[in-house]
Amino acid sequence: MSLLTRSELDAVVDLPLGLPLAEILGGDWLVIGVFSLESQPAVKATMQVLQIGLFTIGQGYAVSDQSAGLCFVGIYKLRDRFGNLLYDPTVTSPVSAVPIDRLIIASPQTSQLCSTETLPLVVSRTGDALILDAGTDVGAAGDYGVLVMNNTDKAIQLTVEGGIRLDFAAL
Amino acid sequence: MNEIVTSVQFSASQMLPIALPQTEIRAARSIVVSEMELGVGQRLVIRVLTMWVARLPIADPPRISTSFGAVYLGVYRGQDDVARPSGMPLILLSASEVGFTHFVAPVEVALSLPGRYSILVVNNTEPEIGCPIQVVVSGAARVSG
Repeated sequence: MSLLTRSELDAVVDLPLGLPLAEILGGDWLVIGVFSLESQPAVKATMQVLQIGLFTIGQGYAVSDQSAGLCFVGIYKLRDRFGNLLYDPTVTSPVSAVPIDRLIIASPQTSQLCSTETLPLVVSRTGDALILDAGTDVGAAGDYGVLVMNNTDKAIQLTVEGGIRLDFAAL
Repeated sequence: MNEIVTSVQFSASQMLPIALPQTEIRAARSIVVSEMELGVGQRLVIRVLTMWVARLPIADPPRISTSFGAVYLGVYRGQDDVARPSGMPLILLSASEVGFTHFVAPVEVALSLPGRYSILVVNNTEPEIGCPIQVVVSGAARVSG
């Protein structure tokens, strides 16, 4: 059994990501979370939990980008540590930008479309993937956004839950 | 000093979420992002607080309170009228253009006076102008005691 010190406890912050059931129009997207990493003092970010629940989707939908599933949540670097704009989600679709990490609700493997029988669809991931360390990689410092994208041409209703662990004792 | 945290202390410590997905706030209106009740002997620490202004359709719009930016996030204590917050907030993030505003980590603000704390995001523009502003807020607070 390991012991936890006060400084270790205080060094860790769990940043919540949450989108209550919301409708996103076809081809549209939302920013659901933002955070910044500093290199002095260094901050490390780890994706702890990420979950998407797809509840409804318009009949006869078509998927826009075949590599992006029905919808996805992606983490994007918006500005570098010098404040230079890398990606502007107010202008450009996240489908056209390069994510740091992405969780996708995949399209059905068959030609069958999602129906009321197959919904809700839930995908989740825990304790892996995103590790941004502004301590070992100073280039990781900057501003980040977490986006959810509807990759179909019809409205969808979905929820997103998750959390990013920020560790201020990275060095 | 590297004090060991006991299980009792750990159980009494709770991380509370502060999260507002991309939301449009109409002119002169506000949204309560979070409410926290602090008891005697408890301590509230705002650890991380980030606001991103996604859309501000009018450059330098007329403001209701010239002390703040076009949109601001405030931590208030004992605020009753959430539609029109008054006075200087205990913690303030203020912005007048699209972009990020945040605490520079790991600066933290500790609040220990018992009472109800509210975190509001306020569109500080004059209602006649009709300037809806879109914001995203992410943060976390720890209550211990």
